[in-house]
Amino acid sequence: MIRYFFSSRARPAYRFSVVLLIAVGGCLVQRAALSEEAAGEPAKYLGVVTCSGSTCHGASHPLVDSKVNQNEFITWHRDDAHAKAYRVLLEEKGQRIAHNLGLDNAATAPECLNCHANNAPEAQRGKRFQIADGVSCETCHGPASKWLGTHVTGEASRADNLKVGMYPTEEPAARAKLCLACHLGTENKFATHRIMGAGHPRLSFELDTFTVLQPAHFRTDADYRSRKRVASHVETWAVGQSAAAARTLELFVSQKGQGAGGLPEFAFFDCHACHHPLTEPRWAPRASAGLPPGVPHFNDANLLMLIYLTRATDAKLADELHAGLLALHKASLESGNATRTAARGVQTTLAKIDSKIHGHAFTADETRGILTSIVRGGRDGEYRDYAAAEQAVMGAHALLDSLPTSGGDAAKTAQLNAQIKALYDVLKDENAYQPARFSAEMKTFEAALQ
Amino acid sequence: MRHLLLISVTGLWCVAASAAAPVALPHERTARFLGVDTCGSTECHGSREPWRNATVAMKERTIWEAHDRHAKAFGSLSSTAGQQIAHNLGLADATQAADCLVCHTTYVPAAQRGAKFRLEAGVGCESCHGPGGGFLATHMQPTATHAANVAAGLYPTNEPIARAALCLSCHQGDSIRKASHQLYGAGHPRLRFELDTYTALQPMHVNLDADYRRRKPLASHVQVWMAGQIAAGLQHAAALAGANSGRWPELALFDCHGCHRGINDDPQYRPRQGVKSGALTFNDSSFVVLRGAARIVNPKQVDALRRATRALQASVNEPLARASRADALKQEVEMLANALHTYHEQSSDGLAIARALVDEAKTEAPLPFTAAESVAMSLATLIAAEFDEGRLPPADFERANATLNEVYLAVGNERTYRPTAFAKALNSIGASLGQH
Repeated sequence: MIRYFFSSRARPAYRFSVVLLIAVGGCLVQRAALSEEAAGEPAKYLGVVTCSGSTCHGASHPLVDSKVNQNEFITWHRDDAHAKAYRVLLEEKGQRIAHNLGLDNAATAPECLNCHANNAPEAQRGKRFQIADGVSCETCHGPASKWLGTHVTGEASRADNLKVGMYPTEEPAARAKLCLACHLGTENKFATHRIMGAGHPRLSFELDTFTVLQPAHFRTDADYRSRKRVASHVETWAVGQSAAAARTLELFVSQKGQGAGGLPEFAFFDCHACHHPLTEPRWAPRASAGLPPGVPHFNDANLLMLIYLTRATDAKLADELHAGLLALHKASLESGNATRTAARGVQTTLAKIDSKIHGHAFTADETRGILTSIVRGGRDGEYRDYAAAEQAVMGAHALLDSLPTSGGDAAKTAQLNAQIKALYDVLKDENAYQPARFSAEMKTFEAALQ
Repeated sequence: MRHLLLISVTGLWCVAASAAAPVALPHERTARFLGVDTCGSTECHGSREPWRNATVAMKERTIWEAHDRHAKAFGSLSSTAGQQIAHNLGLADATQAADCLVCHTTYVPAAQRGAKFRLEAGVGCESCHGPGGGFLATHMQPTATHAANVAAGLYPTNEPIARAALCLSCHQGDSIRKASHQLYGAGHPRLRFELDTYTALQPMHVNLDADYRRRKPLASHVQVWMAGQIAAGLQHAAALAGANSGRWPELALFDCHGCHRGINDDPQYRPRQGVKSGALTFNDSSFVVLRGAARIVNPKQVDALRRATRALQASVNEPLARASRADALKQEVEMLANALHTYHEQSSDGLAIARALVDEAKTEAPLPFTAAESVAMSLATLIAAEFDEGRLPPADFERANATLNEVYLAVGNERTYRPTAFAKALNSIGASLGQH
């Protein structure tokens, strides 16, 4: 099934095969990349050229008799936007954004490099490391100096590699943490409203969709599964939502949540609540927000997804999260302190939800229940915010892809996929988003689901 | 909005506005409001045709009813849009809500409403001219004078400063008639105003003939325009000095399009001078225009005005400093108002002010939409004034008018507005006004 990029960058990517749900009990791997310091001298980043030899990961075509594709570098280099991450800093737009921020050069500014390249400390850069490689092999897989040897000879097991610094990208929680470090931010790197005001695009992320769209440069075949756990789309989606919501609130209650002059940092707020043309009034009441017209509001897209997830699996938790969200919105009108107190309340609920998601094997019935719950939110007009609509359709798509198709009704599947496409179509132009149209398409989707 | 400069008021230009102390606005007065039907009967101001032998046309109500949108102010509350806005605000009915009625009708206490008074008449005679109960008797005397009427409670709408205070009480809002961001968010249109333009477009229901000028001082377009800008600046600065309600400042005081712009990449976009990207910026349209005027009226004050505006703009980051900086800016505007009295006594060169306004707008580029709109309306007023006064020969007027069209095209659509296109239009109009 095709997943879509939003906007004019639309680029269909083909999903591999339907992945079977394999539940491996909670063997969460230690956060390898973070445990480096303990192992003495920090590991070094050796550079893309080290990984991309034609007999290593730089083959021109996937090798049939190999365990892995071996053409990972080519896929990355040709199709993966991460490969262009550094280059865009040199282009007109990157230079313009830097200029608007009062920076000399985007390509040398740590503020930009922290996410547009593998901006490792000088001491950790190997001889063939190049900053111009952008977001490349070791940005995600970890510094190779300590595992490269055994990795090449094939002597080491997956677990051995992880122990010496390879990053467990196959684990949804670890992957979410890794991706969100840039696609949402951390205490050290964060796309503030000031950066966006200078011209940087809005950040938007859904773990499962973006894994598919990257595009993935691995194949989850039997051999892969003998070595690593393969999480389902629904689990990946759920873990991604939970991690994004948790990270958002963690940053929001920190110094990062505070903008200038006692106002909140606007990057945490719904972009389109303000960024819509004055000639098109946008406001209408929303049950999950409970706010009057004319006030900026917190971007609660991930929280909404988690409300619908729990509504289908644990109604009590759903009510608790909903109440917490209403309190957060209300407090956001009062003061910074009130907002942080309310946000901490939501964090407590999120921790409960997170503990139920991790390692959970979602059944087909559960998946269908969550999908129905998300779609009903659409029917009820809860996705007035563009960002929420975006999350709803990406989530619905991930959930749909998790449902077994074997033995199912092929015509029904085609109909549902066509409806996903119709939902994406409503979101093509964020400046012309019509919540009522989205709601109508969600109603059609709901009818098709039954 | 005044578009082409075809609205021309003929006559001589004289008379300075008086620097009177603030006069109580009509709705603040205690006399009885007698209703449109009292003033506008067919024997009085409701004639179908102008009277031949009267000092005024006597068909003022007819003009108001047929052409003046103030007459439809109450009706708009029961329109689909009006009811939707009320609903969004959690109000049962816009036609019953004081928040709406204060500007959409002559909203006075029931005890002050005469037998013929009807709220449904909208913004009627007494909304602007004051309660008839006070002055009707004097007014109907054959020997009545304007001064006697004013003393008895007629509002001096002929005085630019008084008229500015009156119109702006709704068209910009004050502490009672709040044009809040909540109101806008619920769907109310954005407010915009320029006193002289709106006076002409209302349309006027007076004949500014020799008889009128014998009875009342008649201010020039430039004076009316200036009074409107000064009043807007003072009111805006005063509002900005107010405290936040809750965490947020009153967002209606900020530049609308600073936030309400498309989120897609705009290669032409540049942050404003002295403002960090992504920061809230308050709406400083009136201060841009006032600096333009100050370049002629009181040149030595221009830099101080600019510093005061920038300091206030920066107080978005320092909320504790906002009140004192807003107050400092207000004092600068008051100083300019004082300088203006001296200036009006000596000269009135609309063309020089227009050129200075173009200069100031260029200096301040990239100009946000609302400021560009204010500059455009101001230029239209000033050019019309110069033509009407006979200081701008017809050929020059034609040339200026053509470039003014360019300026208006550049601010014709707030969604597609581009500061660069506006800057280009400013160059054209600057050249047509003899600017080098």
